[in-house]
Amino acid sequence: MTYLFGKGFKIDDYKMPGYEENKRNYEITTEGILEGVDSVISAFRKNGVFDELRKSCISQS
Amino acid sequence: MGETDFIKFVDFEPAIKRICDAAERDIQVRLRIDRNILSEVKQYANNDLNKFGLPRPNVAKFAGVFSFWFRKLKPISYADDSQNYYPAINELVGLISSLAICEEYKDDLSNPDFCVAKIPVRLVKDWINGLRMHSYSPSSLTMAFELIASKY
Repeated sequence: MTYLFGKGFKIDDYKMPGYEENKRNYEITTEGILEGVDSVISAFRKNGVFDELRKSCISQS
Repeated sequence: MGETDFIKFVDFEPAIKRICDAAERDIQVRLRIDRNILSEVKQYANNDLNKFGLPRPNVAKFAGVFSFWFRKLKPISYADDSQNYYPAINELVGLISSLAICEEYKDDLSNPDFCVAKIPVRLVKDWINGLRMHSYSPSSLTMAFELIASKY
């Protein structure tokens, strides 16, 4: 559908700025995600994220 | 308009299981994974990724839509025998999954120096809390990953 404005602009003439496209082919795999997960878990253990989160746990009384 | 198909074949369950194992050990909780909801997460994330209309969306977009649907649909719950309860467990597992994607995969738009270990603990805690308590959309979470893991 084309909308005409008072001064003759057509909305169809407007082009939304697009996303910059990644040109590189890559395939996300289960094994790849597992490797990434191991890295993140290791980082969170080293920098104390898990320790901090454990402190905010609610314990069953 | 391109159709993204490379995530349709990814089985996330082993990764989610591994994160849950780590959370059980490190946060001392007992968790359950609902496979049906996990399957929905994959389906909805895939739908949203296709909405970008890009044949090869960069990893930040993948990470954003995945963590959005994970925290929205919440496939993780607590086992009856769990002695501890951490309220934002789905947000934590979703965030780790998405950070793992950004850590492991690099594309044309990735920041080559991105490293999860460099993210301050304060930011991780705020992010997890924000994911639980505040509004997000697939687009806003995607932008968060673009800002943290893409080059600019």
